[in-house]
This record gives sequence, structure tokens and C-alpha cells, in this order.
Amino acid sequence: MKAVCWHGAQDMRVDHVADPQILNPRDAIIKVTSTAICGSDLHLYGGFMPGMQAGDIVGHEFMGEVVELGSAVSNLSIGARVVVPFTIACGHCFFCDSGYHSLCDNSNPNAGVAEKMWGQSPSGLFGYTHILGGYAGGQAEYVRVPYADVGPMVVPDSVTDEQALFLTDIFPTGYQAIAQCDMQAGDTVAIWGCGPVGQFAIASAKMLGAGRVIAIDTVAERLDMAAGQHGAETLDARKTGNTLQIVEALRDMTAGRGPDICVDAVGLEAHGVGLEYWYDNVKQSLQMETARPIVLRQAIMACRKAGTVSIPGVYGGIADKIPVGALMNKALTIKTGQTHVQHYLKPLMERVERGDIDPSFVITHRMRLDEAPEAYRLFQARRDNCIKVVMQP
Amino acid sequence: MTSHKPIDRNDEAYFDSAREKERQRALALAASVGTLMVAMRRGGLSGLALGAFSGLLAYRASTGRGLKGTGRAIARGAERTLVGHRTGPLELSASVTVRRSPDELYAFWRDFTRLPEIMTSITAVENLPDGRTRWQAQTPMGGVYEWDAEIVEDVPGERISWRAVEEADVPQTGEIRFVPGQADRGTQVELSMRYTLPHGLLSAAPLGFVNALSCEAVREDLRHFKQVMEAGEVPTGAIHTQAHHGGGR
Repeated sequence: MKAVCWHGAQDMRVDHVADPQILNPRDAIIKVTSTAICGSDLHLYGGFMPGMQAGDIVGHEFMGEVVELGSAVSNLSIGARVVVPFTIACGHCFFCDSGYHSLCDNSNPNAGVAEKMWGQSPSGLFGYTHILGGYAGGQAEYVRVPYADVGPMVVPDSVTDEQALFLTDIFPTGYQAIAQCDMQAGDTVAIWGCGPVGQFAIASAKMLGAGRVIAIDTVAERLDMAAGQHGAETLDARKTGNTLQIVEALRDMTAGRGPDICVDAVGLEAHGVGLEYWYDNVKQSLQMETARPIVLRQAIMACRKAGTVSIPGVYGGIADKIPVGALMNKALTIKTGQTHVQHYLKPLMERVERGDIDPSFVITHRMRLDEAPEAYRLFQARRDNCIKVVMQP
Repeated sequence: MTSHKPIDRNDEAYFDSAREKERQRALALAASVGTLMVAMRRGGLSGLALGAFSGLLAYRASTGRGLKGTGRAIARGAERTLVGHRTGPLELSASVTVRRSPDELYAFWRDFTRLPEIMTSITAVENLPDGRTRWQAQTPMGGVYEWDAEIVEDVPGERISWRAVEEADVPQTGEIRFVPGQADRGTQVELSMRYTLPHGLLSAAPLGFVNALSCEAVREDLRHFKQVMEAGEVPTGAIHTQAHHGGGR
């Protein structure tokens, strides 16, 4: 089959590889009909995530048709059209039972490695480093899906591929970023990063009753989408200036309070201006820190006293100069984590069915799987107004 | 079959005789390898002579007989270099929390034959008619290493301990304990293994045990146990078996 394989920084290729097989009783094989490139795939593409090996099949946003089932999967039938959560979860451990599927105790075959890095291991993920399991991803014609009896969800006929596809990751991820914050009526939510996850966080904040949503980014067309699609107020970070100036601007916009909820939907490759950005860039390239946590610093500094900083943006290792003084003295709460997709899948599918939201609004590019290398280049450079690429095998 | 003494897991004599036998063979093996490396680097007549000496040491290592005292000084030096100070019994332990009752966990373990599903270094376990178990591991050279074990203690729902019978090359004991956790947090499972390795990892190398001899390896086996008991299977990131070399759908 054809699959998108990582061969090093800035090097994605479409390779011919062996077809996946059923290896465990709870497996299914899915014939992929639609797959997307996630912003977090760009961290792999840029070479910022440790634990990748040449030839790894990438991609964790995919859906398709069931073509083969393991002996223990009885709730799906051959031919069923399903979306597959990017978090691989057994469904039976303490964490799965508590709704924390991205913290599944049992799904990471390389949990020992993750424990060395993070103390404990989260769940395995599709196509996202050997630290998180070395699972082959879904930017391919076929994919092996473990625990198929609890992960994949059948898509109703009334919902199209393009409407269902983002239930695998970015819609629940943006939704969780808000839902985990105990938002009160009238709260102001500031969201850094208006990429796909940021867009869904903005949409979710509005959907869940935020008083105001302030969208922060450096790319004009992303800010336009935030304002046009969801009625967010916008702040162009590049025009506003450095961290202190952004914090000041947000303080002014909220009459001195600061946003009640601050969302870092950017993660480890944040951009900034001046000395701060230079400092992080040098340290990151010398591998003295794995992240440029500029947005995280801004979110902590800007956040209202006793407010919540929510981090859906991806981090992998160590970051520098986190303002813990602000964190402690302002009594902030931090909420973060990979997304518990299985937990949100059903209610969010119902919202799509009801027409509360049409997730396809975020798509800017439709391409073939063969064009993946070009798609990665486009998305990374934000060329051609690229926000979200969907590919078909 | 040797006669049975009353069993005491902490019996040092059980470990001592095997320890001495193993010690002598491993010393000779280390010395042989060391001498051969020097010989190959030297070449010429002196290299040839050293090569021959290495052969004698290898013979002594493989048979455990002859050449009494030969090269003992060299061997001591080699031992210190290669294995450092780890010459006593090797104690390894790890624990894990599993969301199953002590009785369910005990039942899986007591069967013994399912242990290869979770123990990376074990390829098969067979129940023998006399109540013993026969264990099988793959050696690095592709051979099979076998030993028999007997149950020392068996308290249903609480703990099982076992040990290799006296004629086994690597004396070892194991114990698994099932302790009810707090509230609904599951059962705490504790596994301890004890190996007698007079010459550290060197003693175990020819037998394919090296990979099993770390707390990480014990923890990994316990993790597999948890995965099988909670999720019904051990996860894998592979997409096809090694034997499968592609082909088109």
C-alpha cells in the first residue's frame, strides 16, 4: 500500500510499504477514505519531536471503512464507515473508565521509554513517535486500529466525510481546551494560535457560552477566519509586540482584569519578537530546551487572578523561563493533556448531526495522498492561505 | 533426579555450590575471550601462542574440568574489568497496580503456562506430571535453554513462589504477591526475582538471560501482565508480523 513516511526533518515521502495485518484480537483494519495533516504533524516534519525513526508512517487524523476485524471485535461490521480517535485507549483501565482516554495505562507498547521521560506514560498515539508507541499512522491506504471495539465510531449517513473527519482530533481537542476550564457565563477567553485547533477552541468557547473570545495570531487570514466564522475579537501578535506588550494589550481589552481563561493552542514552536524569541531559538537549536514556550509565558502572565491556563498545544520535553512566580502568586490553574477523544466523540457527533457546527469550515486544501510532500510544505510555510489540508488515498 | 531436601527459599547452601561451579567456568570464559582478542591484535608467532592459550581456556570454560589454576590471575583481572563487583545474588523486583481481583490475578499466574505471553525472555512453560514446571528460554545463538522449577509456597489469592531445581545452571527463585489496593484502585502486584550470578551478567550471557536481568525487564513483564488482565492483550506498534514481506491489497 501507499503511505506517508517520515524520513527526517523536512522529508516526508510517499512510500510503498507492506499492508497492515490483524495482530491482536481487538484489532481492525481500516481502508482510509479521508485523512488530514495536523498542526502537530508539523512538529514531526520540523524535526522537533524526539523518538521518530526513518520510515515511520505518520498521520493521526483519519477515517474510513472497516475491511477486516479481529476475533474479539463484535460491535463493528465489515463495510462500516468509522472515524478513529487519534488516542489509542484500551477502554478498561482506571484512566479509560474515568474518561481520561489519552492517559490509558495499557496502550503504549513503549511505556517504559515514556516513563523515563515523563515519570508515567500516557496512551499510545497513531503515527506520533516511538515514545508514544511507534504505531503506524493513517496517512496511508490502510491502517491497523487496535482496541477497535472501543475506539472507532460509526458515522451516521447524514454526516459527510469532511464533517466527520475532524472528530478524530482537532474538534475534540479545541473543545476539551474549553470544556476542561470550568467556564462561567460571561467569561472572557483568550486563545493564542488560530490554526485548526485554535479555530475549534474559538468555536467551542462560543458554543459553550463565553462572553467574549479574543483570538491571537500572527497570520492575517487566520485572524480573519476567527473573526469571520466565529465573531471573535482579534489581536495581531506581530503588530502588538513583545510579551509585555501583548499582556498589556490584553489587560487593556479587559479593563484591567485579564482574560478569565487563556488557551495556548500553539505549543512548542511559538513565534515571538525581539530578544525573547532569539533566546528560545538559540536554546532550542542547541537542544538546551525542546520548546519555545513564548505563548505559554504570555498566557500565564496575561491570565486573570485565579483564572485558568489551558494548554492543548503540544510540548515534548523541557522549557525555560516559565514565570512560576505569576503562576503561584496569581493562584492560577493549569489544565492540559492530549485529548480524551473517546470521551467527547459521541456528544460532538450529535452536535454535528444537529447542525450546531459544521467542522468542514476549517478546510482550505483538498489534495491526493500522493501530493503529501507538497501538502506538508504548503502547510508548514502557511503558503496559499493554508490552514487545513485533507487528503484522499 | 536428585533427592529432595526440605525447601527453604533463603537457603544459602542452595546457591553456594552452583555459585562456585558457575564462577570457575565464567572466569575461564572471560580469560579466553580476553586472550583471544589480544592474540588477534598481535598476530605473528606470539599471537599464535596466545591464541592456543585462549583455546585451552575456552576448553576449560566449556567442560568445567582440567587446567586447574591455569590463568587464574589473568581471569581475576578479567573478571574485575568485565563484571565489576556484582558477584552476589541478583535481586530484582517491581510492582504494578492492576484493576482485577487478587483471585483473578492469582489464577492466571498459578497456571504458569500463560507466562510466556507476558515474560519477554521465556518462550514456553510446561506443567510436568510431578507438579514441577519446565521453563524454556531462547539463547542468543538460537538454541533453547531449559530448566525445571518447583513451587515453594502457594497461598491462593495471595502469593506464589517458585525456584529452579538444584541441577539448574542458573539458580533462581521467583515470588509474586497480590495485595488488595485501597478503595477501588485495584490490586498491587509485586514480583521479585533472585538469580545467583557469581560473575554478574557474564554468567548468564550464554544462556540468554541477559535481557531479563534488570528491574526494567521485570517491570516490563509486569506491565504485560497488567495489559493482558485489563485489556486482554499485549499492545504492539507493528503493522505486520516479521514473516510478512508486503504484497498488494
